Amino acid sequence: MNKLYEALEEGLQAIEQGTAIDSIVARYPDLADELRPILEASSRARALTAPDPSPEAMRRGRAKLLQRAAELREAKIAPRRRVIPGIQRFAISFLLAALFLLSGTGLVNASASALPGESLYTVKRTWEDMRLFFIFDQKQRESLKVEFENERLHEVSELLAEGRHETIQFAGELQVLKDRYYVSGIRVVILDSTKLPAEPLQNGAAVVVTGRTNAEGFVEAQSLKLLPSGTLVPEGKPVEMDTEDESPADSPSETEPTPEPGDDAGGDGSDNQDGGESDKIEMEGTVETITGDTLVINGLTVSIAQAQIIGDLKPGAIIKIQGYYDANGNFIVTRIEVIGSNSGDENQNSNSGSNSNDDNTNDGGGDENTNDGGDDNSNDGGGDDNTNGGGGDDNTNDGGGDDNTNDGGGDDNTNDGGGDDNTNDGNDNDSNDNDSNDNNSNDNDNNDNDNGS
Amino acid sequence: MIAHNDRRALDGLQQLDSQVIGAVYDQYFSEVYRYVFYRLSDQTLAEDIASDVFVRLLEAAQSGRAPQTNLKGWLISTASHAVMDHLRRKYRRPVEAISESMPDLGPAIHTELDQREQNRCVQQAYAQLTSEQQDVLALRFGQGYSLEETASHMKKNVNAVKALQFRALAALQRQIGEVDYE
Repeated sequence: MNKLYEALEEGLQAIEQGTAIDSIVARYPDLADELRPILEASSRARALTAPDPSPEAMRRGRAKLLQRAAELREAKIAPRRRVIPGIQRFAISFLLAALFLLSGTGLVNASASALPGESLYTVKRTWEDMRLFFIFDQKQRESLKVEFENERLHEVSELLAEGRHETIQFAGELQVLKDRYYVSGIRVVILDSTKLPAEPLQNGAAVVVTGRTNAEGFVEAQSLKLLPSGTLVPEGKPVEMDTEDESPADSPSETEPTPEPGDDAGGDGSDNQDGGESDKIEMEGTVETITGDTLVINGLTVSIAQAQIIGDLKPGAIIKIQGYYDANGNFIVTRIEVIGSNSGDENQNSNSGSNSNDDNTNDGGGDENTNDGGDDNSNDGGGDDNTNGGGGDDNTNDGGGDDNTNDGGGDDNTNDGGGDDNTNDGNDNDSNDNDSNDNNSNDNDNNDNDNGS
Repeated sequence: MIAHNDRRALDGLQQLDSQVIGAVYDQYFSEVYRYVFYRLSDQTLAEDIASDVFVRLLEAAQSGRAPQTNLKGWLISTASHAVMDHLRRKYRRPVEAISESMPDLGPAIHTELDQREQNRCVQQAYAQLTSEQQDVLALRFGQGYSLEETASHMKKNVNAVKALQFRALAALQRQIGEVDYE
């Protein structure tokens, strides 16, 4: 069979140089019967060449590209979070500062539980911006930013729980499970019109979702953008495998990932809503110092006088804290959970980061195996492969009649079993030898499919 | 032209330098367009998808995820993904059976119109191939890439491509034959 492949390649090169099929076939008398139809097919494939694009099409594409470049330039100047135009925002800030001075923090407190689309929401976001504006310590600024991103996540779950339709934008960690996308625990549905990045969407990627919440309990994405890797985003909670049975038609409360105690994005949001108290905030970090009733974590000084402490709290411990900002802007911790110690410093830190994603970590090692398992999504908690297997690929490919089989282990056998079969019948057994090569590349392709699913 | 040097072109893309963006576009657009056209046989789609590929390149360069060296390779493989995305969406809707939609071609046809009909028939046969088979034919016969170039675009070794192109052509021949001799 290899001989036939070689003969074909030599024949193709000869045709390119103008040799006639007949004289090529004559060079391989023993292969002639098989070679001739293949070479004829190659002429037909060559005859399909595409025309050059029309000048008009060139112009259109060029304009579209330069337009996009202009948008990106603008976006570079204005940070991502700014939805309200700068001047308007400044005016609001000024007004707010005045109000703040006159009436204390009443308005701001009242806005704390505002959601997108509500009148006080602007106040809330402006207040956040002001707080960021007046913090000069880089570390504190970062942790405050993370806190606000958490708040975005929380707002989205609130909106979903209430089944409201609002345009939202939030950042989070992407998780792909069984053909479904979750961003920090929020179900995100990719539509045909959704703008996606060029690269495959991988588990664990930091993304920004722009879209609309709906009454079915998920976010319809308008666009999904990758953030540079390493960007700090709210983790939310990992989606467990048992969410597989949910369907978009489920009631919102079911569609929402199972609440865990203390998870901000989960169930306790409604309490805040009803009670009107400040929102709960959760963060993880290493204890820097403990002094009496205060503790420094991630550069932020917090009060632990009222905290329920679980575990051995000491400097260097990695802890998860929950709490809220009181009216004076102090962070009051209600609960501290020690989730590790920092004897191994950096390593430990990274471990704690992945604790919430145990499954992923386990599976990360076994990429190939998982993949070999084929379509088996339940193994897929982890890295690339679940994206491969779990994405929309299989079905779609099935529809096409071909590529589905790429997901399987011994590719080409299967491949031949698919849409191709008849074509390949003559070659099947022989070509198996070459298939080990194909496997790898097949896998790549699958990966890529995810772009659009 | 600046775009001849991929590295410098990428720097320009990252800085959103309109001149560089225009140069990269001018240099590669036709190639990307022809690739997509070959795969989908649809002018409007080819225009849309090809120009979209360049928008993606711009966005990728912005977030630092752009190709480090081979710009053309990146563009073609992104185009290939975009084609697959398109096909996947299309396949969500039921597809016409090939035998019903294909014209019955009589023997020995020579007029230009018939030539076009015949091309249409080859296109329909082509559409029945796996995306990998389509890809290899598009690269080798649509783009006119060498075996080695094709292999590097498909991230395969040359032997795998030899086998793949053989099977792709065999499949194409069979699909065409099914119509011809029915």
